[in-house]
Amino acid sequence: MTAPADEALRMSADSPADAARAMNRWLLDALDHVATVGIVQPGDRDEQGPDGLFAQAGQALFRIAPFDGAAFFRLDPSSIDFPMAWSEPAGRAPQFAAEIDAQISRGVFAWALQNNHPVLVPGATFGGTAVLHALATRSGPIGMFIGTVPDRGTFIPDGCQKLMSIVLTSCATNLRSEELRAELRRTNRGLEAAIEVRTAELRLARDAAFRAAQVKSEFLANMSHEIRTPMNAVLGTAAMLMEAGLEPDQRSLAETIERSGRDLLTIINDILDFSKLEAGKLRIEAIPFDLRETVQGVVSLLTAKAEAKQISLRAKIADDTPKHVTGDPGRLRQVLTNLIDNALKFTEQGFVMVHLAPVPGPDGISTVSFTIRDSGIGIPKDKLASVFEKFTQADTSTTRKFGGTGLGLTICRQLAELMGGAITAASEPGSGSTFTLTIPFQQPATQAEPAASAANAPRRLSGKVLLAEDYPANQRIARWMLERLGLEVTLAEHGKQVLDQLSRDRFDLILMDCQMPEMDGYDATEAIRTSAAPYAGIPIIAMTAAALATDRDQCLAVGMNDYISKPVQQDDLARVLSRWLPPTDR
Amino acid sequence: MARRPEDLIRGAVEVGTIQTMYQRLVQVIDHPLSSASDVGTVIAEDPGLTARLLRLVNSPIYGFPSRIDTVSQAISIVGMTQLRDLAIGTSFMRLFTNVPSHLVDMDSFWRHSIACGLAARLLAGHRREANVERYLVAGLLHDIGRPIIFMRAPLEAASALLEAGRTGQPLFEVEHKVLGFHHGAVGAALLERWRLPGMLVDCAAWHHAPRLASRFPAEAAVIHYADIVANALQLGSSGEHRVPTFDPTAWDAIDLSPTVLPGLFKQLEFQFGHAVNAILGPEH
Repeated sequence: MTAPADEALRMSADSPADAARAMNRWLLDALDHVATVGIVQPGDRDEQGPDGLFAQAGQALFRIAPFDGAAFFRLDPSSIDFPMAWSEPAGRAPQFAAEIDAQISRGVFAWALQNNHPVLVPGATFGGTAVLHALATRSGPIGMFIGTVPDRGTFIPDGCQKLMSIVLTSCATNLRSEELRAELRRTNRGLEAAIEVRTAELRLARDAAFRAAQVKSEFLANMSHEIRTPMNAVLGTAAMLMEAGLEPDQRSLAETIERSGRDLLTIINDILDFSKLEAGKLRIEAIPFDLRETVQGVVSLLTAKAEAKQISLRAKIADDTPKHVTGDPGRLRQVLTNLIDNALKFTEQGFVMVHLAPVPGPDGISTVSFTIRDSGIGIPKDKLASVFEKFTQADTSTTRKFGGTGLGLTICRQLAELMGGAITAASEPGSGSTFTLTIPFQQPATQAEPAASAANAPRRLSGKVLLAEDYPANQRIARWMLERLGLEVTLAEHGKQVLDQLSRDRFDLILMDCQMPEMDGYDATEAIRTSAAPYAGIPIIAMTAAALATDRDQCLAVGMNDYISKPVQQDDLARVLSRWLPPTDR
Repeated sequence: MARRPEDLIRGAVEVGTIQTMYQRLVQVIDHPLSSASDVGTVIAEDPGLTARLLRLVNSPIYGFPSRIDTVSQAISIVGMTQLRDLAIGTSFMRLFTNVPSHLVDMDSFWRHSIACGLAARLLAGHRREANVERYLVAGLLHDIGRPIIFMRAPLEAASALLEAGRTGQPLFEVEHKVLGFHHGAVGAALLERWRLPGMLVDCAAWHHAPRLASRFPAEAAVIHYADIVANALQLGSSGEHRVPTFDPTAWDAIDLSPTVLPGLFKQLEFQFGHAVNAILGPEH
């Protein structure tokens, strides 16, 4: 330890100039210490920690001022206490602590804490001088330094005092930045933990949402099944009734049942379609079909309705409209039916006109516009934009007068968009509306004959059919329809009976209900397909009230060959079966 | 004939004995081996100064817990350079306390200077400056050019006061228009002539435009802001009737969080009366 004043004092006896020179030399030395301990040069402090920092600062201060002991006290913000953090010599730690306690009660400690220069006071617990200096930054105090000088009269020159301030300020700054780094690390850890918790919560919420969506889909499928099964019976029974040689007024009653049943089915299908669209589960097919025939089919189906209202319904197809295109004929039929049916609904007298024309477009794509014009009540201008919104008709009174779910046009627009097209509406209130549907169709690769449509379904087929169906009304209807096609029918009430029958007799085809007691259609199909029996390859047609695309996928996945949706219609049944059974000439 | 600030200060104030005391203080302090008692000895030669300093360091502004009875005690607690600065500052301002002037109320003038010094000292404390007392002194002396103008150019001073009152322009701008320079330049010339520390000179010269201070811009910014605070709180007046224009860059130079201000204003209002008593004497 250098005692700066001592040497200089000795020199001062000789001459003030020598003393000043000695002092200068000492100050330069001291500056060297301050600079080389690395306190004033922030370095890689991370491994060092506060203890190393206190030791460095302490050693520097010992060289600067005539201390015989020194200690650092560090503020503990949680207890607002100043525990000792470092002392030299370590053996005097209790004495430093006692001195600090005494200076705290004298108020000197508080004074020193407020100031940024050394405060020299007589020692409270020893005969010398105590030098207190705050460790503080602009954001507040961090701790206190105390140095002890053995005698009371010793004066620490101004230069030494300033060097002390430099060392201690730098020490405080380093401590503070270390605190901030630690805080940053803590915050980062906290953030990471918070993100983890949040992610877990989000994952749970997402899973719950997935489950809810799944439950909704299942509910829809179930509801659809539950409604379609009795609907099948209603419609089938009505059809059977009408064939049963009724009196004319009885026949008209049966027709009412049949028509109302179909209307109800349309509504159910609307809701189901809408749900599927909402869930993004509706798939658009791309199969070759005859465009003109499809449009004619829709128009002729609705002709009866137009005639009943004495409205002229005509279709005009431009000559250059393509005949064969690739697309989804079922969905096209649905949209056209809906648009034409709407036009008929809102027209009291006059006409409904369907006009087909090609629209110029890129190679390989045949874009066709379908214009449906009517002479009906029209749509007010301010309502035009909202007619495609769900649950909306032009006004609420219209809903009461004309009926409907208000979903039709919403579904049409979404279907049109799914098919890559669009629907627009224009209207002159009082003189009619015009809906224009444009759909881009793929041109079929070859001019292959499109799939047989309902119009040319064969009337008679031959073969032995095993009908698996548990619901008695539907058994009767299906049997009736199959027999009308000329087929021989054997009944099974569930999957186990199916297997029984197969082992006993030979069949050409199985018409399989999917939901059955004992063993359902899926399990039965799997059992058949995985057996080594000769019937393992028998065509199996699923017949189910479940109408979602996923159900269809499941049918095909377990090895069924085709699919027919309930309520089963005679024409649909004939068309599907004709793919698997030979026609008969009779 | 155009005048310069130097023309106004020539022979303005009789600084004889104080100048001698100041030079001895500088000598003693700059000597590497002088001790607190050496400084105390020099100060003790002026009993009025000794009393003033002890009154000041024992006032609630400092809040030192036990009584400080001697100058050397004061030095070991307040610091040597700090006490020297207080000695110089209060001594120089004594020279002006009796300046007769019907243009300005000197009592109000010094109250403004004390308020400015206290605000500057508090700001410096928040900045953890080692020598906060120098800021107190810089505040005490920042407007020292103004009484010189009142004494040496009373006609121009009067017309400047009238025009500032009439137009609502800041007085220092009107001074510049009338004289070609304002009180800052006069004060700076005076402090320079007395060979006071450069920080005090810069603060006097540039307290209305701290950005232009070449050596001590941050210090000048502190005085600039403190001057505005003192004017805004209407603690005394130096003749300026309006709050001087605030240079927003000054606050950046001061580099403190504005959250310190509410506490600072409270402290300032508390300390003001004590400081006036300690510096100007109990009769004020």
